[in-house]
Amino acid sequence: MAPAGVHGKVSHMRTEPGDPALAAPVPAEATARAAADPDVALMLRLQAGDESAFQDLFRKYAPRVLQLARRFVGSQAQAEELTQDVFVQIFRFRHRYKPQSRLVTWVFTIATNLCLNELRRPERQLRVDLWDRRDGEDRPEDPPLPDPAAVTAEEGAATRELAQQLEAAVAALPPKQRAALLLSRVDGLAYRDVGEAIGCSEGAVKALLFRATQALKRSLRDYV
Amino acid sequence: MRCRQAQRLMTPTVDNELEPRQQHALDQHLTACAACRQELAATRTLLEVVARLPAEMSLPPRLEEVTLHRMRDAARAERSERRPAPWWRSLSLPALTVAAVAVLALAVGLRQFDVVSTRSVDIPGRLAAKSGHQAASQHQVASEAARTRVARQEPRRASEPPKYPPAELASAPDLFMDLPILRHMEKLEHFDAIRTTTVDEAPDPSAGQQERSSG
Repeated sequence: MAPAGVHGKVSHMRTEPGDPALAAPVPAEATARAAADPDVALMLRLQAGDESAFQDLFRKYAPRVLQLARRFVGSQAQAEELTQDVFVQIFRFRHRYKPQSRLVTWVFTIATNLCLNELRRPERQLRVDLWDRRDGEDRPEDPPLPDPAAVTAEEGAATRELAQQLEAAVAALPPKQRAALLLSRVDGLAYRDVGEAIGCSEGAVKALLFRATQALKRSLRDYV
Repeated sequence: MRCRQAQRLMTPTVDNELEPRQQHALDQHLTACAACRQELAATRTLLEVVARLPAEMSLPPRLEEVTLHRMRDAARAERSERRPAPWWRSLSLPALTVAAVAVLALAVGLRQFDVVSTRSVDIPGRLAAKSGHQAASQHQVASEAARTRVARQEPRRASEPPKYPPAELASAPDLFMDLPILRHMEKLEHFDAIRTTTVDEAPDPSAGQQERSSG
């Protein structure tokens, strides 16, 4: 976990472009892939020592990583720390990225692993128990969800209620079922990529999704 | 296909992740089973609702700055790891410990060798005088004399081993254990006793006889 919080003191020292700590040789075949996939080009720039590539990567994926992390840990502050951790890990292991795999899968693999590890921590279990939400009690850190499909006020209220119930039902799922559901339905990853992210086979992903869907149906039987 | 099997295929079919063979089997079941058609519709609705959950979240203002700060810390750590370490850091702690112990043992061994060599100069005459009075102690005196000679001859023996054992050694087989390494270990073990004991303080062989006779 990150030692510094989001609001910690920040120095403005910058690394130079082409910093030797960041630089690494780029194979010719990777350059060809980079021409076809902007994500690969981004990672190759990062591997070559371009700090601005890290910023581009952060701006592109951090909003999705933050949302995923918040759905795992529930707390906004912890989700922000997890997001920091994810991008620091991306930087540290940038040379392990192979252009053959999709960057989004690689990013979500790191994010999912960190989120699952966070949920496994013993102190986390205690905290979850203490913060366990009672029936009818809203979690103060949950921001109101947008309802773009709402036309009237009544529809808007109903959509918001459904969204809140759905968020609560998703949060109650076991971690791996939650990860499979969010990565496949919300982040749009294929089952093969979901399996890679959470470390299981496609068949196991299907089983996780079946159980998650059944649980959501039970939780939302009054709405769906 | 049974309804239970069909239900397991409903999420993959909504996600277009079913293999053609499975998709065909599910379609056949659905044409004949109204309950599963209704279940599939509910599953589709639920998954569409889940897919409408926001995938992104607006970033707090300082999150990018703080993350960049941590990234630069990691870059600095990488740079420091790549600096060449001093040569002595490449040696492991056990190797350094073994080397230190070896040097210490060598120093102690050399010092003890000097002490024994100096003492051995006076030992033969004193032992010979005692052997004239007590015939029973002849064997031990011979042993002491043998040890003395062994100590004197040590440099030569180290270079060329004798072709046959001397008479003193032949009469005392225990002296065949007089290997240099064992001798030095004994010195190390009884370092203080050896350093402070003189020949005059050596135990009188007759004392052993008196004890045996009284016992």
